[in-house]
Amino acid sequence: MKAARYVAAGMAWVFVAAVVYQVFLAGVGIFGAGGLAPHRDFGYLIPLLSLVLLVAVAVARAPSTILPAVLLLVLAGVQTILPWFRIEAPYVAALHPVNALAIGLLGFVIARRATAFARGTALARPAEGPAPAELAAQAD
Amino acid sequence: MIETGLAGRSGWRFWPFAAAAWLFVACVVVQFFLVGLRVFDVKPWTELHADFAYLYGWLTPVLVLLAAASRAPARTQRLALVLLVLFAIQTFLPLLAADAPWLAALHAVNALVVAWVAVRLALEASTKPDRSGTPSR
Repeated sequence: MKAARYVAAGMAWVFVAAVVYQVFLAGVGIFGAGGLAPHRDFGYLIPLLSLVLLVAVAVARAPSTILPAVLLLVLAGVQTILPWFRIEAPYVAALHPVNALAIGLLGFVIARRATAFARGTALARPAEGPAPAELAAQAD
Repeated sequence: MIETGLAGRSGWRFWPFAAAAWLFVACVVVQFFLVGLRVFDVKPWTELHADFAYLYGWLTPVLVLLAAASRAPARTQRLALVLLVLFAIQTFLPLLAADAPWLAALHAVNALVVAWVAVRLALEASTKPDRSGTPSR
């Protein structure tokens, strides 16, 4: 399980890095260093990464990260939809950067908790006690 | 000495700092919405993003002063100073759009960092220090 914890922490930091890169790509498009196409294309990877992150923290059984990771997956899905409203409901579409902020902050919180959990420090604790096999081994 | 510190932060000195820090966080969230209005070209609000930044940006030096006045821990005072510097950089970055657009693009990334530091500062500003003098959260 120790390896799973480190994989979850690593995955969480990969997610944070992906969000930072995605935000940079938005800046590149806005300030004319390039088009917005790379931002749009890379953006479809973020929900996939958030799904992988959810699986990783669930396998690692890091309880204080699972619900935030579920929320992150929902926010990442919503994020890809928001720009579609630019014509019919532009004020809704304008929530795209606000949602990006929420995704970034939540990803960072999960990454810190997952890292603390992997290191065995206090930010996160397992919800359950030792696995039955571990208890049996201790009894022996 | 610890009790004096706690007493000093629990009265009139403490709340203005916490309130100003959370007000700044709220302004940052509004600012992210305003950039959405600009990017998605929602008229007549497209210029509001830049104007609003110069309005609430004055909170950053105020936060540095309030952190000192509220006798916040040194770490919290440093965080307020970091926020001031990051915000100054943030207002400068768009000016590079013509000459160095790749650098100007960091405006968006720096906005994320500003938001994170602002939330950390607000959490620390609204948390009384523990016995070691550091915020308990």
